[in-house]
Amino acid sequence: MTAVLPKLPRVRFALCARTLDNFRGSSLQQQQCRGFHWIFPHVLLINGGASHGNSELRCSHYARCAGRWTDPGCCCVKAPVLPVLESCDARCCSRMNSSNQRDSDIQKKIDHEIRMRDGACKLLAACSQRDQALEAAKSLQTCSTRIMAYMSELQRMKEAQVMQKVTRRSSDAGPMDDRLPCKGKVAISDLRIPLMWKDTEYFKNKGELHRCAVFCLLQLGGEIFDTDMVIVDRTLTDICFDNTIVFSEASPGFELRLELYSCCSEDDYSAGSTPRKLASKLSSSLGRSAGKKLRAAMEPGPCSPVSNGGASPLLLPVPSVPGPKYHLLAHTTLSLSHVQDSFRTQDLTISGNEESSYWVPLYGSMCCRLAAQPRCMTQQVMSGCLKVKQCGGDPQSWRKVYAVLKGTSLFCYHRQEDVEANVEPAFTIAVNKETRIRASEKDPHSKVQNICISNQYGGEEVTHTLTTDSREDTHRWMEAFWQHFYDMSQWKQCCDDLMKIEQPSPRKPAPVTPKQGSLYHEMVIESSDDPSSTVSDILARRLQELELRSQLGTSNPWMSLFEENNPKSAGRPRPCTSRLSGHSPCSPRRLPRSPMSPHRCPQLGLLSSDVSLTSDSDSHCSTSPCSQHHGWPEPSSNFSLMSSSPSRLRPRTLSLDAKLSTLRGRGFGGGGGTFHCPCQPAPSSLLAAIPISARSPLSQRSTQTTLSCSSSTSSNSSTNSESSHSPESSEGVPFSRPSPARRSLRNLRARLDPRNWLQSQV
Amino acid sequence: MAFVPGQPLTAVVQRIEIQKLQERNNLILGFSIGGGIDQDPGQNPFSESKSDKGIYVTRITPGGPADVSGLMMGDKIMQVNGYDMTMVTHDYARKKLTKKSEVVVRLLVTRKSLEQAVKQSMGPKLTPQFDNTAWWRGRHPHDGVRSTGRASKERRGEERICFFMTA
Repeated sequence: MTAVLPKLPRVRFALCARTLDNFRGSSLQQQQCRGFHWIFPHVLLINGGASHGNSELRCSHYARCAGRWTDPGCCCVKAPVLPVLESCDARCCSRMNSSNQRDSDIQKKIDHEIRMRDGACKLLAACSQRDQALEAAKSLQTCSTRIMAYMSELQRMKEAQVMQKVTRRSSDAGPMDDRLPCKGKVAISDLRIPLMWKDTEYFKNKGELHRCAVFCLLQLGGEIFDTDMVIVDRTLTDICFDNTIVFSEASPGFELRLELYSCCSEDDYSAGSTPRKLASKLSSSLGRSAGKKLRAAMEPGPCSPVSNGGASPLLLPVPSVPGPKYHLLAHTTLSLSHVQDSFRTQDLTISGNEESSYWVPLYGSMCCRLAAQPRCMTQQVMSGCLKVKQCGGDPQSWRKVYAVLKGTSLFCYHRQEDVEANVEPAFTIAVNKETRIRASEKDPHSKVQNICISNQYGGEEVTHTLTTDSREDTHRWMEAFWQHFYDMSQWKQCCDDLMKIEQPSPRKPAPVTPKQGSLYHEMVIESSDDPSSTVSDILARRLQELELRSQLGTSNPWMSLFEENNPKSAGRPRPCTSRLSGHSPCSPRRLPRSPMSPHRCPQLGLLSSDVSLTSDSDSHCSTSPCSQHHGWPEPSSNFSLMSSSPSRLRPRTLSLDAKLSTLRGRGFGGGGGTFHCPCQPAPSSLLAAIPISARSPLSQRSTQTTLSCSSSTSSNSSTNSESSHSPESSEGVPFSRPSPARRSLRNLRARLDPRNWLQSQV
Repeated sequence: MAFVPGQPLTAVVQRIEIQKLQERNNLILGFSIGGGIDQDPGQNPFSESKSDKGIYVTRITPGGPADVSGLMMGDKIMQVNGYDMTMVTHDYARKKLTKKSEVVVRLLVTRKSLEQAVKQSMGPKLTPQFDNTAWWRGRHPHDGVRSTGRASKERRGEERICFFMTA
């Protein structure tokens, strides 16, 4: 090892510089010229992904030990560093000794983000619906950006550490007179980006609506947030993001970087399977703009801008996962000068041009409300007991008060308890930019100095004198006043008045869009599947997908899901002949035992209700062959049994239903009962439990009543008379528990709605 | 399956004959269909091309008549008793399947695996996998005119079916 070292250090050095360059642009320039005495105690080389061609880096941990580089894990560098982070091995990060607590915090965050990113990749690969894929791609982008930001912060901290050591060694700490201004909350809300569509889009372009999915990525310091995704087409005049994003640790010199990403969201163009000839024919036969876009999409698209030092966009090339890719469309940077309590328009810098597939015609500006709440305005800066005297008054009229310095005033309460009790203060002394505070000469009567606060009220100058019990108290109060003034000078207009910031409510997960309510909409059947286990498999996968999707929106640990990644029981085909005897023993479900957060219940419940929906309809035409072969028990008795038991504990004979209903019962407790199959009225769902009771007289009648219910409002089902018309399961309807009237109305709407995909039983 | 409008469509089909099951006063087949020219093709989970507006089998009742006859989920129905199903509304398809006067329904269905099976069998072996696999040739009626008259014409004349090979 030591023999190797003399040769390598120079290379490593250059390597480090360049790697870090990619992280953070040019801020390292001055470090580079320091020569070989590199100040980095730890250098992190990221594992380069295979897609980056000939560069091969492995993670190494260099520790500086007694002034020499020692390299516990050897690294072999073949080529200059390319922009990296295809697959970052977070485990390597954790190998770095960080005695610092903040380091480990960041590393935990990095680990977490990497897991999230892995999850998003997996979901992206498993997605079949375009919307889901877009959402997953968006999460992927956000995670990648966050990883990048955390990495660079880590490096910066390391730098700072070593810098400190260096300076400490060189010079003794002089009078540290630099105050740090207080931090504050910065909130950006009501983002609105106007669009400027060309008239040709409207009048000449008769083709399909060209749609793009856009979202915003906002970064301030180490915090990165993304907004919801919005689908943009030419019917939209503005892109509006409703989210309020609050950054809690902002210094007055903050830089809020806002980036707008977009991705073309056309189904037809995304399938790479369209044969080339057809594609070229299509592109030449379509309108000019549409064809161009198609051609652009068909080609292996250009990479997102590669970061090569300097001002690079936040995102690095994302891991090569098939699926939609977002491109940077526009960006801007906001700072303290843009903060105002009302809406303001800012300019956007647009990248990308009209020819790109992800182009959205932006007007070039952006409206938003940027508000800031410095801590000095919202929190108590200083509090304590004082004696106050108004100048010009009786020299003996000292009033004892409990004073609280907050915002632009010094509140003086009679007693300390009044503060918590929200009683009005006895009086208030303004402390703002026009206030003058000074320490007065020693009062002959007391041993401590007084503090004089003078304000201009109207044309008059009013001075209050404060005195404390001890010299230390006086010092502390003066210090507090100084700090407060400094904060106010730094935060400038934010300290005039407290700006309101709405705390964003905990986001409910986006409800499953009505179109995709049915299980069968989202199933993709591979032809090679063994039919008997197909549906179970698919359900298993669906449940997983839904879980992934729901977990993406929260910070639930992924590990539990991925540890039991391959559903153990998914492959086992279940025999269809389980008896009508309460719950069939349900399989040790593949779903993780980890406590399901409440908001996941609705989605899983939805799924269960989907399945029960299908099995219900199934039961309708489940026919005599079944009953003959298996000799089911008497329908009527069972029916009465069914009607007595509450829907939540419906025993199911189809194994699938059994599993799901027990799941429901177990996982969601009381919640299970609420997720009925809404599309069919209750009576039929009851009899669904008994597949063969589809033939019982009672069931038929109720079927007919169902029909009449829906047929009364629908125009189509006049065909009732001629066909054996069983209730259509119109899947396009959002799931809830509607009343019969609304259900039929919904059926009607669903049937007439061209966006649905009806299924009929024959 | 991808088609070029106006051009003849070739597909490997399987003949499936389903006996309807009498249930009280209903005749049922035991499967569900989805699709149609009035439906949103993007939501079809079974179609290869998301602009395919054909009629697909979305569910099969296990043990039902369709299941027994060999119909499989994901099959695209090309013909029902001679009536073309490639360019019809959802309701039309349902009606043609649920005619009370017909007790037997003869379908021509296609699926991806059929074509693959035929290709395989064209290789080393010369016997096909399916007995009743046939090449179905018909003009893909994408020219927009739909009426019963046309359908019957197709039923009579244009259905050139040649048995591929028999064992």
